Amino acid sequence: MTDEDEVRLSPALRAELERLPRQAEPSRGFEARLVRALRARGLVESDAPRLLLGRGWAPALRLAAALVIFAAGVGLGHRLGRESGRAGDVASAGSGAEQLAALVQRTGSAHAAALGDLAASAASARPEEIALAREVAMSSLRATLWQMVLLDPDDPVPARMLSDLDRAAPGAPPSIRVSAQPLVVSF
Amino acid sequence: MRLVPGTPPSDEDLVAELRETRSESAFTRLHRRHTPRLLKMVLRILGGEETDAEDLVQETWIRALGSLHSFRGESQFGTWLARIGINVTVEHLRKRSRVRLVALDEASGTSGRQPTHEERIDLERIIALLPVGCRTVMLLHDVEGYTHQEIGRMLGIASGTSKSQLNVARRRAQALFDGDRVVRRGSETAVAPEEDWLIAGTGEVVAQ
Repeated sequence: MTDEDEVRLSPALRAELERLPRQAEPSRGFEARLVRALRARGLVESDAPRLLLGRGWAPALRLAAALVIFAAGVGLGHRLGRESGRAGDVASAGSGAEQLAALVQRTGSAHAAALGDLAASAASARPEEIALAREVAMSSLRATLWQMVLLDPDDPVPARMLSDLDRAAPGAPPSIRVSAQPLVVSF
Repeated sequence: MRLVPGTPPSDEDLVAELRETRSESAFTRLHRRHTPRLLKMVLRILGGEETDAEDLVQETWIRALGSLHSFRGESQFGTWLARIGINVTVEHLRKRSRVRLVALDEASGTSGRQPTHEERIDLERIIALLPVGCRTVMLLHDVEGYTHQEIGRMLGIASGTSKSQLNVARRRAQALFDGDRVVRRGSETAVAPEEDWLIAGTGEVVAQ
């Protein structure tokens, strides 16, 4: 301050001002409370997953997790189906199918959500991460369609989609061949 | 931007990391670096209410992280954060309708005689007794070291207003420090309207 009309403090008061502490320690627990508040608003995120994987792998990880859950569901379905067939327990088979339908719904949502996350972060992700995720998603899509054909062989939509996929990716092993009628599924 | 272990990252590095990944550890470092100073400043503007001060510091960080995209590095991060902190604190004071001019002669309890050493008001108390507008300006200028231009930007006032408010605060603080009896003049006795939290009038004090 160099203005001529500035009120000047006495040296004693100025010295007191300079001696004033500039910092105050917050109370215990304040930092934890603050972090919780910021987390609740999505303004900070825990570093643990990033430290292990680095940024950009989270969507692929979620996608892979969804696929694992999906595959586990399919495997569980096969096993339950076999057991149910052996035992001839119709009631038990009905209950298993109900659980599996719910599982398909849950894992399907997780799968779609993971793909959505991936799409949202595609601009900032590395190309190899995107390629990996696309490959996983495509395999998952094929597996899903294949299971849908098994679920209802008379439904032409999944069979046609599989056929389209085969045509679009000629290098890939053909997963299904569609004839006019009846539908033939080859493994 | 990646933080390198063992190397203290700059504020800019931490802000970039936080912006990019919402990293909790980057935030924690920034918080530990800036919160003590921010808290002290907010405490002084409030006049020493600790509970409110921590709530306001929390609100300051929430707003700061919510608008981190608007921090372009034109000023230091601490200055940018302090500006948000001041806005939050002043808003809080306005909401609570506590922006009143303090009757210094009554509040200080001083009389015409020179106070004894025991009666002398300590500086923190003197600052707390100043009207909030000029107190804020004095804290920012004389304690935190900001220029009038910076203070003007922080408070949304002209730098000339900042200077005049500093003069008001200094006159009052000096008078209280010297143990003089302070008499307010004219319009200063009125409660400041919410829109105008700075002191109207010259703020001159007269020692009796």
